[in-house]
Amino acid sequence: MDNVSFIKVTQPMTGEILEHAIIDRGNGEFTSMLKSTYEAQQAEQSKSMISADE
Amino acid sequence: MPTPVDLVTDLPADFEVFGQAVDTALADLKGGTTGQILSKTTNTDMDFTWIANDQGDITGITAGTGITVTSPTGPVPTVSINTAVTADLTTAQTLTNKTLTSPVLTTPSISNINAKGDVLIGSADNTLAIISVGNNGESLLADSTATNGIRYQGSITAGKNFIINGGFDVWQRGTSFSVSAFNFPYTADRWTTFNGAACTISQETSTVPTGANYALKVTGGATTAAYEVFQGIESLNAIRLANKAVVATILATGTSAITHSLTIEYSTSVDPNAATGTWTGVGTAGTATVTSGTFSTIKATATIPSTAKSIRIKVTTGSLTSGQTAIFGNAQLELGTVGTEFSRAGATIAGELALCQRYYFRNSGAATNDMILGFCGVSGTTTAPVYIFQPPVTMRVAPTAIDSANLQAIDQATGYALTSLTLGAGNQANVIRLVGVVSACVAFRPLAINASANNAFLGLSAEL
Repeated sequence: MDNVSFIKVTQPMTGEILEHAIIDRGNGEFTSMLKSTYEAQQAEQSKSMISADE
Repeated sequence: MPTPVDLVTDLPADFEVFGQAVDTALADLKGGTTGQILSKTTNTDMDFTWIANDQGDITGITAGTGITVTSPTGPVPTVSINTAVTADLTTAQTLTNKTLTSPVLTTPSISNINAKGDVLIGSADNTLAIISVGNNGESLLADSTATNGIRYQGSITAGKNFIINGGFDVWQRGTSFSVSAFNFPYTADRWTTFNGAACTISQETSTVPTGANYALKVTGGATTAAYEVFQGIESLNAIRLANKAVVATILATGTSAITHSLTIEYSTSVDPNAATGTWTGVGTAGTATVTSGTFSTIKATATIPSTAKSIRIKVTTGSLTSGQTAIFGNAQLELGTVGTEFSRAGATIAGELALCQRYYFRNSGAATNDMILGFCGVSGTTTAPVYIFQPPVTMRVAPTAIDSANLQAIDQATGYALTSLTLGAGNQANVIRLVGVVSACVAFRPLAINASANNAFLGLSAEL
């Protein structure tokens, strides 16, 4: 079961802070992406699940 | 004339009478001239006429084309055949049912030929037809549905296949995937899935199309269901197919008596996710009811709407019970209406891998300490190594996700567990910047990444 957490990473040199989603695949594997990317994917997935159920 | 019993009383007189009678009887034999012969005048005895000796003789010969008369009269006239025959080029000549053995034709004219580029072909037994020249760049293609069995079609070249990894040669993410319901992972490179029930998608190495190394196998999960596998074609490529006829083909086998289908779909959006975007079916879907161990071709055709910005092909299995399988190979999408022999989009395995790596690449290490990434990192502090490197090929876009497992930062003296590895700011399609987190490394030492345990990997995704 995927376990999602969010972390904020301060960028060296610039000090910019980027928020990432860390998806723990539960088998030692991780996927990370910008939180904004993750949220966009989740929105797309939700639409498709509704479509699939119709 | 005196008779033998007559009394010869006046011999001279009798002899004269006898002579006169002979002369009278043979009068026709007299006369004539040199070379003449006797001819019967009537059927009366001794009725002859002297005539010229020309009966049955050849008195003259009229020469035709190709003949020269040297002596036109008999008894043996002389003729010769001209060795340099003057051809009759103006009069139509007809040869019917003649066999010409090894003829040498100099500048022949064939009435079937009407225009530049016409090609003479056989349309049936002993029947000639022509095929008019095609458009520039097109090639002749065997097509049993065409009037003459052959027609012109473009794009019979490397790169005709718009499906990347259509032969399922590249599996950078692994070779077996337990796919949860409503999850949409990529499996074989460029191939994703999205289903209402769990299934397993894996690399098939035994039951593969002739000439192929691999195929993609879908194995039904606990819940009986049909499953879908997709590949999306990014807009930069798909736009070339707008308003054109295309044909998709795929080979299918698996558990017998199950019907699988293939559909061409389009989207008016730019680069939607192949699994979760909004797609509309177009054209005629193809189906095949398969027999185990024998690949059947599924073919779908469509004319892509002019508004299309993205295209995907959708492979739908029939309903699979737990453990039943559907196996697919040699997927192809090309211009035209006839599916041609499969070829990789990238021509060679190296080309195909490069095409795949434009969307995703993964460096893997099977054993602990296997190298994952070279010395392209450094940390300005003791906790935040930054890695800047170039991907193997320029990616589609700046990568949007990282896959990783069992990685550590190393400085050639010590390994430091990477507690996180994320995309840094300023990423580009051809230069990637990753930011890691470690507990305590030595600042300003060059850093690489290697495997902290078996089965380590680092993957960067720029997928749709």
